[in-house]
Amino acid sequence: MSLSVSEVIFGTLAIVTVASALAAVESRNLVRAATSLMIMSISLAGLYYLLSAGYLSAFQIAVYVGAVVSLILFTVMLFPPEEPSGKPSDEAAGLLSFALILGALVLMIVNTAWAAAVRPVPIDPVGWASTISRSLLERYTVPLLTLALTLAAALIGALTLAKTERGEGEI
Amino acid sequence: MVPVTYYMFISAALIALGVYGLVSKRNFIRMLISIEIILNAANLNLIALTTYGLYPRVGPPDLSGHVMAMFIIGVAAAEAAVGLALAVSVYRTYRTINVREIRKLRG
Repeated sequence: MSLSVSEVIFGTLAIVTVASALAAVESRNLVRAATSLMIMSISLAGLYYLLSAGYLSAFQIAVYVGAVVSLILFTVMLFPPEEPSGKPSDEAAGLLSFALILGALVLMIVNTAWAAAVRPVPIDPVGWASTISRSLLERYTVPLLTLALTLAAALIGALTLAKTERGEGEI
Repeated sequence: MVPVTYYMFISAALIALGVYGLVSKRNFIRMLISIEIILNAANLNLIALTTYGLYPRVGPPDLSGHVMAMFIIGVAAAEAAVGLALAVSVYRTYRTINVREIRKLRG
C-alpha cells in the first residue's frame, strides 16, 4: 500500500488538528491552551487548502491566528493562573457527552453512503476567490452588510464592557 | 482525493472535544476556547461537503457552503471579542472567572 503526497499531508494535518484541540481543552495552563488553539487553526487552514479552498484558508489564518488567539492571549495575561478546578461529577458529565456525541456522529457517518453522492466541484487554483466574491456581492449582500454591522456593534459593546471608569478598580 | 468521510471524522472528533470542554471545565476562558473549537468543526464540515459537492444542486456549482463558513469565521471573531470583554468585566466585579462561583443571577 503506497500513500500519495496529499494523503500523507492530510494524515499529518488530521493528527495535529485533533491533538492540538485536545491540548487546547485539557492542558493545565491557559497560555498553552491558547497556543494549542493557534496550532489547531493553522492546521485547519492547511486542511482547507487541501480542500482547495485557499481563499478561506487565508481568511482563517488572518482571523483566528491574527485576531482571536492574540485577543485570548492578552486577556489571559490579565487573570491569575488557573486554579485546578473541575469536580469529578463535571468530568464524568463531560466524558459522557463526549462519548455520546462522538458515537452518534460516527454511527451516522459510517451508515450513510456518502461516496455514491460525491460530485467534486471543479478545482480552481486560486481557491474560487472570484466566485466567492461574486456571490458575496450579489446573492449575499444583505448578510454581508449584517455581518459588518454585527462586528461593529460587537466591538463597540466589547469596548463598553471592558472600559474602566476613572478611579474604579484595576486589573 | 481523500474520502470525504475522513474530514467528517475529524470534524466529529473536534465537536465532541469542544462539547467535552464546555461541559467539564469551569473556567470562563476555557469555555470560550471550547466554543471556538466547535465553530471550527462546523466550518470544516461545511467546506468539505461543499468541495465534494454533497449538497442539493441543480445548476452550475455554487459555493454557498464556503460563503457560510466565511460568515461563521466572522461571527466567531465577534463572539470572542464580546466573550473576553465579559470575562474582564466579570472578573472586575467578582474577582473570579470560575463560572461555578458566579451565582448572583442564579435562582
